[in-house]
Amino acid sequence: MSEVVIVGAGIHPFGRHPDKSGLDQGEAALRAALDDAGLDWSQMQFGFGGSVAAGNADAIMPRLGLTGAQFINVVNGCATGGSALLSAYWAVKSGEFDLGAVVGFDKHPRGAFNAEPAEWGLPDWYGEAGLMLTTQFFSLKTRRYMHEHGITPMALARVAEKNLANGAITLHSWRKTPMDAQAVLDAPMVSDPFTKFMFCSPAEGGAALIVASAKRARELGLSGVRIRGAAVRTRLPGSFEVFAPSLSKRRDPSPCQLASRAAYEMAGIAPEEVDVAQIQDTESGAEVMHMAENGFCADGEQERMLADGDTTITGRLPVNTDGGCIACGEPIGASGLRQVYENVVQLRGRAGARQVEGARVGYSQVYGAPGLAAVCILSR
Amino acid sequence: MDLSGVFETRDGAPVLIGGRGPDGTVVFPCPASDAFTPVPLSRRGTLWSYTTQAFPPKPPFAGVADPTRFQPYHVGYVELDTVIVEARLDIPPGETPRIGDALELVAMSMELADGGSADVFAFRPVGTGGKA
Repeated sequence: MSEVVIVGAGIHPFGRHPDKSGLDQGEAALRAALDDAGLDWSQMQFGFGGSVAAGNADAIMPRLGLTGAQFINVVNGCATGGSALLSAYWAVKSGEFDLGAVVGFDKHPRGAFNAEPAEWGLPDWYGEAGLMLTTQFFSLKTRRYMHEHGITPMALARVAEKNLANGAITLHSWRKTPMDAQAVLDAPMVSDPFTKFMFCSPAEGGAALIVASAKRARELGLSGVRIRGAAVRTRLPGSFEVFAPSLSKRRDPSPCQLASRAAYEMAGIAPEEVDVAQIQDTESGAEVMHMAENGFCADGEQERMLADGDTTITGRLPVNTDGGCIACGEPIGASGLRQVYENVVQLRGRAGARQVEGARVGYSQVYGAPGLAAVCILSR
Repeated sequence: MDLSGVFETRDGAPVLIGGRGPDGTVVFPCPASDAFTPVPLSRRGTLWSYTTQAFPPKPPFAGVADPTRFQPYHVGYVELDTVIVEARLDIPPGETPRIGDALELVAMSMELADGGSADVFAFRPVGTGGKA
């Protein structure tokens, strides 16, 4: 089995770009990743790419050159980017290929996501009665978590404060205006317990990575960041997931806990060894819960960690150093690859004002509908 | 809004119909599968979690979504004896529910965007009157 490294990473800024299609943004990210590696598209043996709402990723091929290489479109809900990377990881790890590209992009309309019940195997009344909103799920899950583990609204506000502060010093972020926790708390309530600035918004953007075997990278004279573990996992009967008209009274581990454990095991790395983490912050409650689900703390410890600034850039475990979804927005197909891009930049020591000193191990995790999670662990 | 086989009136009272699976666990609604037997769910439970829907949902929401007329509403998970179900809460928009509150199932009239109305299932605090 081949060791897999990321030799190039590129991004198109997240946010709103009325003059650009989603595909334009994916193309820009892919060109940036190729430039970063100093490689040409014609050298790529494969591509895995995806978007959820902005068309087929292989429509990028005519723009970069029809080389005859295999290109596979990946659409897997909120783990679309993570699944594209996982596919590339397997392709290289297996020894079948030794150099290829991963790209993810998206462009969503303004406002909360809406979903067609039938596409999710749910009855029409669930949507018609006003029960099928991702925002409601995150609110309901967080409210219960706060009740069980003593998390306060101020902790939720501190997550938004931190992510907006990080976004303000990140070139590719969307939201650049810092806001203090009290102002976040005083903003209009969108979906109890979350105020307006605790939520991320659907957005636009693209991210791309160039993946190689360690052997090929050496032959090309490229240094890379190693992929130590990568996993996608889905829900169990007793997990508490988005779009659930009912829940079991039994609580099983979440898809995030399953993916996390699998990736740590593959990597031979423990949570205590992680230097920088990008974890799904659809809203600030998701970041709080995912801190525990990814093994970084026990349930309830987040309250004190956030009060002490443990997850700020200079803290014990910096989380969402580029501002996460709260500051970057969420173009679904690109979001998971943005996290990996940010970790690559951090591990190479090129993150500038937001650099985590001496970062050697980077961890990323996405979560989303219909109840799946993707985790990727990198090391220098 | 088609709630047949999901929300019915039995013996003059509203009832939700869940499904009991081969391993005995109960889910709601009852899946369209021979492996599940329809079972009436308990009409009373306790509030397990809640939120407020403060902005008008996009389609397929069938209620009034016009921002000038939209009424915020509460949504919760209600713990019954066999399963936890998601439902609208029949509690005024300005009031804050409490986890652990005793609730009972009611038919709540929902104003629709097309000018009509539909009875949807909802839970409200026990003993607050109305057509429970």
